[in-house]
Amino acid sequence: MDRTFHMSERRLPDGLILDLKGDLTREAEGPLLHDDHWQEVLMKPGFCLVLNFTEVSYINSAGIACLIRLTRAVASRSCHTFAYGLTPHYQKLFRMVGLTEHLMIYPDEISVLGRIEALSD
Amino acid sequence: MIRHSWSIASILGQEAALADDLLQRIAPVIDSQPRLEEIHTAVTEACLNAMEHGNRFDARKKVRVSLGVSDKAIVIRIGDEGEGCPLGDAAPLAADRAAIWKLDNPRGWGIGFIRSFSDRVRTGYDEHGFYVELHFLLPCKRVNGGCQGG
Repeated sequence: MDRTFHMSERRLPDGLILDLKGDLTREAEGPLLHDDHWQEVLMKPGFCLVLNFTEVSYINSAGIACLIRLTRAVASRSCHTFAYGLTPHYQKLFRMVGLTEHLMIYPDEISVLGRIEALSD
Repeated sequence: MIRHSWSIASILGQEAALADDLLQRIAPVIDSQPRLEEIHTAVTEACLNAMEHGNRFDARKKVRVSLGVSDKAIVIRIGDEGEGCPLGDAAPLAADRAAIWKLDNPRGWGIGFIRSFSDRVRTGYDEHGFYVELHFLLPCKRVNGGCQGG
């Protein structure tokens, strides 16, 4: 089974969805943090970054450090970060490290999109 | 009694496959999926520490893992070829949180996960070198009004 980290993007009217796939470890640092495209998209305050974890089955502490850096960067632009598709275990880890103070977790994509729509109204 | 041991190279990714295999072996004695996932995280983080801090990611150096299951506890020993670094009385994860968030690279969560999810953590040296030993207590089984294990 290929566990290599991959990432693809889907544009939204007010943001971007990143579909994450594979293991979220130190290897994810390059795609997640040094990809200029999402940084260009999220130049507008109030835009939203949505992380889809549906196809991520392993996240370690180095991967969590990448996510903290990502959410910090997004928050510094007055943008919002959302996540969905996380298992209860990883939701627990995110709470333990304080990620949930900067990243709002939803059960699925429909719920996130509903929230983003409400924010833009 | 379940016993098994592994030896993996200090290459990132090996720890996840090892922990997957370990979980399959202990699944018969733990009927809680959340607890299994906590053990998975504790083991992978201990292996990562062994690879990084003990073996400095030298792929020729091994991380040794041994598993022992009694009726009272699961004991997992993770050893490396380094000098060793006792974990000490590290503060709970919540106490470290604010300090780690201020770092440019906010790392250092692994020890907190290990401490949070293990019932006991021991460090020491055996014939191979330094080790961290994680203890996970098993729930006691009610038999004839008494308690077995746990």
